[in-house]
Amino acid sequence: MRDEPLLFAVTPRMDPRAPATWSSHGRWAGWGYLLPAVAVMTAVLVAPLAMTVIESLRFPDAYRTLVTAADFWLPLRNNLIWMGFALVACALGLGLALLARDVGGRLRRVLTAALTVPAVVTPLAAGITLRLIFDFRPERGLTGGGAREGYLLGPGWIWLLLGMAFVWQWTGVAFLVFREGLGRIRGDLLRVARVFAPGRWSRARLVLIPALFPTAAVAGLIVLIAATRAFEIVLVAVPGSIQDQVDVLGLYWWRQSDVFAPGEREALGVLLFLIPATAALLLLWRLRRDLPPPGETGGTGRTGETGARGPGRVARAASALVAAVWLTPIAVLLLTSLRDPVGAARSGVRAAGHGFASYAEALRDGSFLDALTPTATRSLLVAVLVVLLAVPAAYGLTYAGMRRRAGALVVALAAALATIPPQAVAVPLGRVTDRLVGGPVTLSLVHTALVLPLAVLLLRNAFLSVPRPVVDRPLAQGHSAFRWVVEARLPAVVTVAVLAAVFTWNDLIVSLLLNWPAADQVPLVIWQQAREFATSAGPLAAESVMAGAVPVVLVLATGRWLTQGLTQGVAR
Amino acid sequence: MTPPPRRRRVTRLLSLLPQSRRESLVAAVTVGGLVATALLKEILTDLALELLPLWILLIVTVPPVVIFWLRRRHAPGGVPESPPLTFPPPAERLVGRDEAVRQVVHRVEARGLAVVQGSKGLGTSAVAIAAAWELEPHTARQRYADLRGQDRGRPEPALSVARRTLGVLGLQPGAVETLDAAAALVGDALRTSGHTLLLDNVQEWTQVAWLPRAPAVRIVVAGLLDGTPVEEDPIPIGSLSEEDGLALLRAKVTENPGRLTSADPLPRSFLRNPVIVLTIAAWLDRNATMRVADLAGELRARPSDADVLATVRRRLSHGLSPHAARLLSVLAHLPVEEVATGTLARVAGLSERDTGDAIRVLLDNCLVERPRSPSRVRAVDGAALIVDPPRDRAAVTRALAGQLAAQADAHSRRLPEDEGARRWFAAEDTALLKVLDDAAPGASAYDVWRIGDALETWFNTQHRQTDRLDAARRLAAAARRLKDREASVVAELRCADVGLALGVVGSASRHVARAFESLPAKAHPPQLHLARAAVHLTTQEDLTVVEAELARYRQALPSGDVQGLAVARVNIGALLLSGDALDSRRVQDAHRLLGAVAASAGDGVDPGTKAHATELRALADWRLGKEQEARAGWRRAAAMFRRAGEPVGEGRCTVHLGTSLVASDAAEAARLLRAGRARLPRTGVPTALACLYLARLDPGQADEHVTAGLAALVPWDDVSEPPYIGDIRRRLEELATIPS
Repeated sequence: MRDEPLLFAVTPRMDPRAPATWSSHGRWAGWGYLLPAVAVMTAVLVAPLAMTVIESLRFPDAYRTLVTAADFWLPLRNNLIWMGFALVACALGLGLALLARDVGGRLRRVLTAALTVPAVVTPLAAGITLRLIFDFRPERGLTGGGAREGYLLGPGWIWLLLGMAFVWQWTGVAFLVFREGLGRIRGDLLRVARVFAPGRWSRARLVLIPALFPTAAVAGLIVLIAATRAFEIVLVAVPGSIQDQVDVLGLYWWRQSDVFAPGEREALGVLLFLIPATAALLLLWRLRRDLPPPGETGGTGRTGETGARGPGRVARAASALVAAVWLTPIAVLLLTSLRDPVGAARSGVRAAGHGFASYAEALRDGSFLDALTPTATRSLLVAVLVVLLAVPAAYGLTYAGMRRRAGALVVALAAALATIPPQAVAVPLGRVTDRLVGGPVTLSLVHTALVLPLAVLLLRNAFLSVPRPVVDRPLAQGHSAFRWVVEARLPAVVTVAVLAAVFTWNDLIVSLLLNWPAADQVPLVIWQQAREFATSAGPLAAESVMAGAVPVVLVLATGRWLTQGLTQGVAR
Repeated sequence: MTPPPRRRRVTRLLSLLPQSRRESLVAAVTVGGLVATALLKEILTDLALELLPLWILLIVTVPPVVIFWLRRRHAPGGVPESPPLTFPPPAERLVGRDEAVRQVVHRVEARGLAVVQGSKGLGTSAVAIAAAWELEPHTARQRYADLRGQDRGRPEPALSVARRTLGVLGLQPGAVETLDAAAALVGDALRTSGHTLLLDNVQEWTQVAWLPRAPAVRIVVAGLLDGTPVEEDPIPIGSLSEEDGLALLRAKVTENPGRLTSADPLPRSFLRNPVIVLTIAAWLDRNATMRVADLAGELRARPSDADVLATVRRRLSHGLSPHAARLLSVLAHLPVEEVATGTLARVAGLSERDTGDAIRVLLDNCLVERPRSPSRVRAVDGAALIVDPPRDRAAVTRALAGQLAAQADAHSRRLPEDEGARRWFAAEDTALLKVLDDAAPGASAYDVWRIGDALETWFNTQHRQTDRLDAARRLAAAARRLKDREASVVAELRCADVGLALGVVGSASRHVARAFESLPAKAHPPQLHLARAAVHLTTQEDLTVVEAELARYRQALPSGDVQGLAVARVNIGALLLSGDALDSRRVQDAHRLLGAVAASAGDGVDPGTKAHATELRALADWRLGKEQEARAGWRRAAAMFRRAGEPVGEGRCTVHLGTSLVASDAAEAARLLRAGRARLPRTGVPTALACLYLARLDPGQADEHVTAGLAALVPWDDVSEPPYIGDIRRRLEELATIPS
């Protein structure tokens, strides 16, 4: 017996979870969760869009007249230039995300904060800041000291200003998305690449770029939509005399609104929607093809936040430099706001003397202060409504038993609706809500509907990444897993609320199209002030600082949640 | 005061979110209504801007308030406070029991254990408590447990009493599977701590027969103690003398005691029973103008003490307020023995304040009792005989099931970390089992589901396999009565799971077969295929069936179920490592597959599954001749199982490790095998293997190990045993015949 082989028990593994396929709620429960969000989006986005399309088709010549007009092609070309800016922002975001992998945690946090702050200030503030730096009068602009008068804001060079303003604002978003994407590349993939691919470039070409494609698509989608919607920056950063040369389609629609032939305005509105919607759907289609099924991402080991090497000295220096460059415009804005109003008007940031006179001047007529409360309450209301509508909708799309094909269709529709520019729905909305828009609830519903599709998509992704055991048990009991899912993905919910509040706080275009001339929105007040840019640089800077402080403080205060929320939201 | 952790605050806030269709509907209607009203208001007036903050406030606050209100109406009750560990306060005046108390003290000091035996109402507990106080006046060294269970007429099983005793002594009760192990632990704890233990209201001797006896320990047990053997020499508590009874009555009557000075026409024999005396005293106090003579006539006709008691109590119950009468009626006819006052209030449909007042009245009238937890209450014995059941009895029973189900659901989500949740289950698990037993057609299948699930979670975290099996069987029976096929299948699967863990393969196989039959093939959940695969893997009857069922399990998993896929891979690994003829290619395949599961990142795969994969991969290493790697793997797997809260897995790995050292390091191997066996259930193949190698390494106790090993191989009933079981049995029997 002593020579007999040793015996070991081979024990099978059981799956003690209750069967997850059973749900007493049936397939219609998903639609129940979606219903409130669908109702709001239908009323505020789909129906007005349909009315716009119908109106444009009522005049068969509208599209032909529009595209044959001599002044149509310049804005279209300019829009393509903006798309180029989007590519630059994405490339820069990727580069910085790669750079940030090799630096220590603290510097990475500083870099993240420096890149994120511009993304949450209103585009108006971005335009004003860059205009303060590149002011065409040499005695005022930061860069104009040694330059020939009018050099920097000439018609050609204005694109440099616009490009920099856009890149400054949106690189941070691309950076955040790419940073997350790089963190999710499978560790074993990189190890294999290191063994088999000779050289860094082959490694990047064969492994890194294909693996990053889904992330690049998400980043590209967000930044591309922002580029096609460029409106405020052009409006405020470009002097009136040369604005017609840098018009984009959105602005062209607004300027020509009263002189268009019948149906032409609607036709342009439809085009404004179709361009980004097509891009979004194409990207979504690619995204579906390239992504592994949910739950299988992550694979065997993430690459982690830092690379295999320790923090490099060059990378640290470069990161610090980038952070400093990105914070410079903020510093200029802050310094200008602390100058005397007269001195700031004459010499800009280089004026002598400090004080809060510009702030006092900005607040003197009371319009800015008066606009603060309605803007804040509207932002709060939108945040609340978006959460109340988007959270059930996202749950409906994930764990409420909806058919997969129906869910995919809703997601595609949401992606398309996320790209709707306010111009495409403004006219019918304005007509219907003519008597209501003075009230806060109506305008808040419009804002809510505009944010809602993106919020639903973000939350849906976040909910899909909830570990199965969290949802299995309540579902198996025929019980809703709603609360457990929300609890597990609370950061994503907070992120959506903060983004909705920031979007509403910063919005100019919706207020301008639907609420003008009731100037009870902070960006509207700033825009009015910006019309006298030459004489009111100090108060304008002070207003921009005050307006920007709210979203920046909000984002910094919820920074930890936002990082987790975005990670969960773009995790697929 | 420490502020609550942020996570809890967040959870509390989140608890305001709607959780059911009804709450969602209310929230949706409220929000929709408010938004619509706001819109309407804007059309009608130009004052919206001025009133804006009010609307915002309403929209933001009203839905949570409504949900909070709704939730509060259906909220689970609070956590019961821990019953105090010290002895109950001694009776102010113990009449006529001095000799009995002296005997108890003497018996404990001489033998370590005194048995105080007496019928209900005779003051058995009072004697035991007085003696215990005399033995140990310092409260820090007193330990007390009341063994009155939740199940009327069914005494708490001995193992459960043992676990309760361990808990009272501050020891971890969960992993104890045998009474011998419990006795050793209790003896050690009492010896080292110097505590005196009093177990009160013991119904049967078998409940406490396992207790250790030694001069260094001090234990008093008291109660009816049916079946106590004569050699235990119990100290009987008999009736009082008539004089003592009268003295007790005089001491207890506070209202107009002059009534008792006149010639007493009450039959003297009634004064011999303390509980009758106390009840008569309560009646006299309630009726200050009445005399004892008013009762005497009626009581004389009663043949027994129980009848007398019932008569006085019935009289007491006649003058109760409607709330108190309702509460007594509900409490006396509930299927459980004791209940939290909050739950009772909801079940009876009374407010908490009315319930509190009514309970005070009932306590004054000796119609209900408080157990050691002040938030709980129970009707006196025989209460069901003196009050009629409530007219809405079925509804009351359903409401009790609903309340307990909601509380069980809420508390089970906080297991295993939350101390309050553990305390709640320790107090209510028997009641939950009773509710499962009593679930009749008309009861809510949803409540039955929730109770079954909560019990599964509770017993699983406590590693109480036999209780898991018991709960699953009761759930299965309840589901069959309610004709809920899905709940029935879940219960059968659980029975099969526990059956396999305990090595009761025949029973597991029957449960799987029953589950298969109760659903059409299309509706078979993935777990059913896995269970069938696991049964066939254990019986090794037809390994192709295992392969096919595992494939079906994988196909039936919902998309993206990483955990399910990992479980499937672990079982494929187990399949590749099973069977008689093992070729190295199969073992290498298993090694690769299990390695991938063990190394899987993220929280998609639970730690227990990863530990299981690590355990089996180490076995593959062993089969490939890599002994060092195998041992390192088992050590790692044991640690992973420990972190995952799976002591059985940890025990299995420790046994593997010990087995691997049998030839090279006998002392270490024996130590590991003992440690591993202590974590395993009494039955099952790993236990049998641990016994086999212990018998080989420890010839002095070989017979004992062989007996335990053979007992661990439970007969497989109608399923034929595979060769490897026969092999273990043969080796064990060979060892038994070798002279030690």
